[in-house]
Order: sequence, then C-alpha cells, then structure tokens
Amino acid sequence: MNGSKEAILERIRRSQGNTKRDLETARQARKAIAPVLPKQVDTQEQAQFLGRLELAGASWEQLAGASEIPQAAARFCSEHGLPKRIVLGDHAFFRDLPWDSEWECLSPQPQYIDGALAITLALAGIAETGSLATTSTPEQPTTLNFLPDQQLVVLPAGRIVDSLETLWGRLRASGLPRTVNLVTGPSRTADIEQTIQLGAHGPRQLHVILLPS
Amino acid sequence: MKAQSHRFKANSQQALRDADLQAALGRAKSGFVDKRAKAIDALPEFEALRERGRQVRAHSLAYLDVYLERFSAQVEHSGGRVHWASDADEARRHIVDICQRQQARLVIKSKTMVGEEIAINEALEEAAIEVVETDLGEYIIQLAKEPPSHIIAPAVHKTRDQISSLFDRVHHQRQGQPTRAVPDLVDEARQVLRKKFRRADVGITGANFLIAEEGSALIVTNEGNADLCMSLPRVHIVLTSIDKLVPTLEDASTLVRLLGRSATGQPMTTYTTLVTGARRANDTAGPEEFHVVLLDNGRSQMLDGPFREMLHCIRCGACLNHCPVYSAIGGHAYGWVYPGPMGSVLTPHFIGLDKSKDLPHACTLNGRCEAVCPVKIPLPKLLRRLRAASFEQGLTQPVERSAVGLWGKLAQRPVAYRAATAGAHRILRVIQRLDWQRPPFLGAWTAHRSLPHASRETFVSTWHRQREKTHER
Repeated sequence: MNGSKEAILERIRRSQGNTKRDLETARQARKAIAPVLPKQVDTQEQAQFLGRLELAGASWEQLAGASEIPQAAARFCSEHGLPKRIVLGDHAFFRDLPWDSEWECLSPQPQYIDGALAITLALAGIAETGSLATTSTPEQPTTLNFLPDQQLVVLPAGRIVDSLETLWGRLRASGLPRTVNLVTGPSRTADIEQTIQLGAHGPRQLHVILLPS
Repeated sequence: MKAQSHRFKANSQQALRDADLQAALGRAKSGFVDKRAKAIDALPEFEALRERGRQVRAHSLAYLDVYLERFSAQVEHSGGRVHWASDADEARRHIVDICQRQQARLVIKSKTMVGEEIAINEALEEAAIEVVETDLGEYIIQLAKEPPSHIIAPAVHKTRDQISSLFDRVHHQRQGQPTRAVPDLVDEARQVLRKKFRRADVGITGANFLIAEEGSALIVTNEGNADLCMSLPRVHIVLTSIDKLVPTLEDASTLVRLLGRSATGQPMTTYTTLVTGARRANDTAGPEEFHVVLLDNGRSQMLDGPFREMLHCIRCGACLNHCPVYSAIGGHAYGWVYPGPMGSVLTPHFIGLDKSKDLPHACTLNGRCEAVCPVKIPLPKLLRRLRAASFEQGLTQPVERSAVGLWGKLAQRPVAYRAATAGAHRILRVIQRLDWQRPPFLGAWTAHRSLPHASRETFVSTWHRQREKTHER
C-alpha cells in the first residue's frame, strides 16, 4: 500500500524534473497568486444576503426576538399543512423558548426525523451567495440539514459575513469540525428533462428566520 | 465500463438516427448554454476569477507531490486513512477490502466520475455487495443498465417518457401506463432511495476538490444525496484522483465560484460540503471511519508532457454543453467514461490512442470549448496535438495519409500547386454554373452540406493583380 504512495510521488517528482521542493517553497510560491473576490452588489450585506437567498428559492421573515420563534414555526406549519412535529437543533439556544404542549419534539437521531420539520441555528450567513453555514456538533448533527422534509433556519443578523473567505478564516481559528455545510436554497434536481424540481433528497422548503443581532 | 471508443463512427451514425436521443439532446443544449451565459453576465469579475482559477490549478500541479504529502498527513491527523492507488485495479481492491472488512451488504454512492473510470460498481457486485446510486440521474441509468452520457447530467439522454416507463417497470412491475409528471417521478425516487440510505453500511462519494492544508474534501450536489451518503452509513469512502488537489480553502472557493456557474449557471450549488475526518468523539451522527482513495491511473505521467494542462480540468461539463459534435451525438457515442471535448483528450490517455483514434477528429475546431472553459484549458490545441500524434503513429486512414502526402508534395512545388488549385477552381466554377447539387464522388460531403461557393478568381491570381496595380502606381 505504502509502495503505491512512494511510486506515485516518485512518478510525479520525475514528471516535475526532480527539483527539490518542500511545503514552505510551495506556500511562498502560492503568494504570487493574487486573490479575486467578487464585488458586493448591494452596499448592505444583509440586503445582499436576503436577495441571494430568494434567488436560490428560499423564503425568509424577520422577527423581533428569539421568543417569537415558536409562533413563527406554528405559522409555517399551518401554512404548509404540517403537523407540529419538530426536531430542534442547538439545544442551548432553543430549549428555553416558549414551546407549548402542542408541539411534539423528536430526537435528532436519524431514525426519528423523517417527515419532521427541523429548526436549526446557523453559524453564519454568506452575503455573496445567500448560503447558510452550519457545522456538525453533538447537538446539531449534519443530518438535520438533509433528512427533514422542511427546514427552518434561525440566523442572527450579526452572523452575516461577506464571503466564503471570511467564514474559512473563522472556522480555521477554532479547528475544523467533521462537516461544514453550506446550504443555498432547498434541495433540487434537474435530472429529468432539465426541469428543476425541489425536494430531491433534502428539504423541499427552506425558510430563514432572521433575528436582530 | 468496456471502452467502445473504436466504434465512434458507427455509434455516431446510430445516435443521429435515434429520435428519442435527438429530442433529449435538443432540450438539454440551450438550457445549459443559456443558464451559464446568464450567470456569467451577472458576475463582472468572472474573467478575473477564470485567470485565478487557471493559476491555482497550475500551481497545485507544480507542487502536486508536496501538497499530496501534506493532504495525506492532515487526513491521518483528523482520524482518516488515505489509500494510494496506482491504477484502477488497485483502487477497486482498496474499496472492496474496506467493504469486506465491514461485512458490508449495501453500499450507497453519490456521483463520482472516478468511480466510472475504475468501474467500481462492477467490482462491488462481483464481491456480492449491492451498490445503489443515489444521484437521481445516476439512479436512472443504473436501473436502465446504461453508462452516464454527460459528466454532470448522466441521464441527459433520457426522455421523461423513458424514465416514467423505467420506474413503472422496476418499482411497480407494470407497463403501458401514461407518462408521469416530473414531481411524481422525483418523489418516488426519493422514497425508494430513503429506504436504501437507512440500510446502507458504506457510503462512497467523489470529491470536487481536496484541500491540502486541511486534509479536507469539498463535495457539491444539488440534491443533497452526497451528504446523506457521507453521514448515515458507518463508513465514508471518498473515491477521487490525485489531480483534485488545491492548496487552501480560499483556492477551492475560487474554483467553486467557477464550477457552479460553468456547470449549471448557479452562483453556488445548493449543497457545498467540507468534510474533514471521521465523526468527532461527541458527535451524534457521521461515520465512524473515513477513507480517501487517491487514484493516479496515468495522471502522474500526463504531468510530464504536452497534455499537462488537461489536468487543470474541474469537470464542469461546459465544454460538452458548448460542443456542436456532443450536441449532435450525445455522450454514449464517445464510447467511454468522459465524453465531449475534455473526453476526447482524456480517453486516448486512459484507453490508448489506437483504441480511440477517431475522438480527436470529432471536433470542428470552432474553439468554443476553450472559450467557455473555467480554467482556460486550450482544448482545441490539445486535440490537434492528438491528431498529430495519431498521424505520427500511423493510426490514420491510408486514404487520408496519401492525401496529406500528396498535398505536401504539391505544396513544395509552387508551379504545380498553382496549376492544381487553378484546376480545382475551374471545376468548382463549372459545377456551380451547371447548378449541380449532387456531383458524383462527393456524396459524403454534399449529403449534409453545400459545396463551397467558388470565388471569382483564385487567391494567387488576386494577389498578382493587386501587386501589378501597386507597381503601376
């Protein structure tokens, strides 16, 4: 097995003319490649984020505070004719909200969350693309972004950043988790006659709840 | 997949006569082209990004050995394992071994062209392990027992009618039903595949990019199927090739900006996922084991020589969508895994030029593939190099060889050359005056095209006349 590693690296070195290189040389050489970041279209990051989010097929609303989340979730359920079955992400954030006894809260284990509404907390919003960033944590597993039929994502406005690069900088500082998910709109496929159909494998609807910073 | 590229001419003829295929291709073509154009018009920095993308790819290859070592060390550091494979057979053995050690009965897969390249499904099936494709397009062609015909839209050659009867037959054992609507078909696949996801022991995904500094894989899908493949089963295998490496997350971001727009016209693919190692100690989801299979399969040799730039490719499919030949015949006619312009350069390297000698000629040299390539691969130049190689190796037809030889001899004798072109010109004028639409011996040309319109005089006589005029003055 190691034999193949050495053989492959040896073939590459031979193809490169066997010049001596190391990681530091590579890093130095890379500095010659100037960064290119798309310019922001909207002067306001929040406005740009929401505009891109809509283009990607997601919806959003703004609330005055986190205590209004259960009401917003109830409205979403009644609008879409859904039972009040939910899976909550990040517990520290969601558990003290005023959920009344009508809500059935499921465990986030994969076998329980089919067909439920997931309510998760985003780590960041990316203004450039309208993407929501989340990382896998013990309380908010990555599967919450994919198994539910619908997803509500709570995003405090202060978490909106301009670009992917800013997000990477922050994540690197704290060490990368197993999964970083960038979600841009609901799941879709165009594999049948190029017709875009939402809800291929992941959520059919994606709704963002924006909180004040 | 057994290469059929030597049958390219016959396959193309057949494709042109296939009414269903022509209907499907007609629908697909303008869709891809228009969506890309719209997305690029909306981003004034696209050209600057393209240049940066090219530089990132060139740099990554220039230090490929260094970055591969860094990547591999980082994967092991985050609790994963790297398996190196010199060729397809070794990659298949790595994967079958991992699955057998896990006593896996069901493997779920998201789309990977490297998987097609090494025919991993066949290898797993031979080991009595069930494999299920989860990308809708791949699932459709797996049921139909066909190879993909496009690198990002594998079932683009299928009509809704065909998919509907395929699902009826496989899922319901019935036939002769009316064609079903798209939402109905998509939802049925979702339900069927959800059950497979729950039971699967191993998930295989490809990787769009590998990040050397972090030891991460970046994987994009619109459906979310790769994410389910990599988070539900207890083992996740990334099956990919050594050329997918880039130094940093910032470099991958540049390529992500180019990839979505070039492939589907999306500024960002719906699910863009960065995965690093296995599940962490307290995680409640994610695989217990994380493996990366790194395939070489001739790529390290391609680095040395005139086809190196082909390794810049990020597999967006834009060159296929903008190719008049691909648009006319579809992907299957090319006879192996990678179709269209990028495939016509890659296939001879993988299966041998002698078995795919027609592919470099399946090109009008209109240059659109190079113009739309997000990392500026000079595809027409590479195809011309393959044509030259094919001539040098004596792989071209005797008629063609003697014609080129004859032309070469003529071109070295100006008097004879002038006489010959003047003669040809005269014949063309006669044909034109007689309004002869189908002159004999030229059937292969005139069946699909008009003869070129003869100018009033030859270039050489125009040249002489102009010179005389200038001298008179």
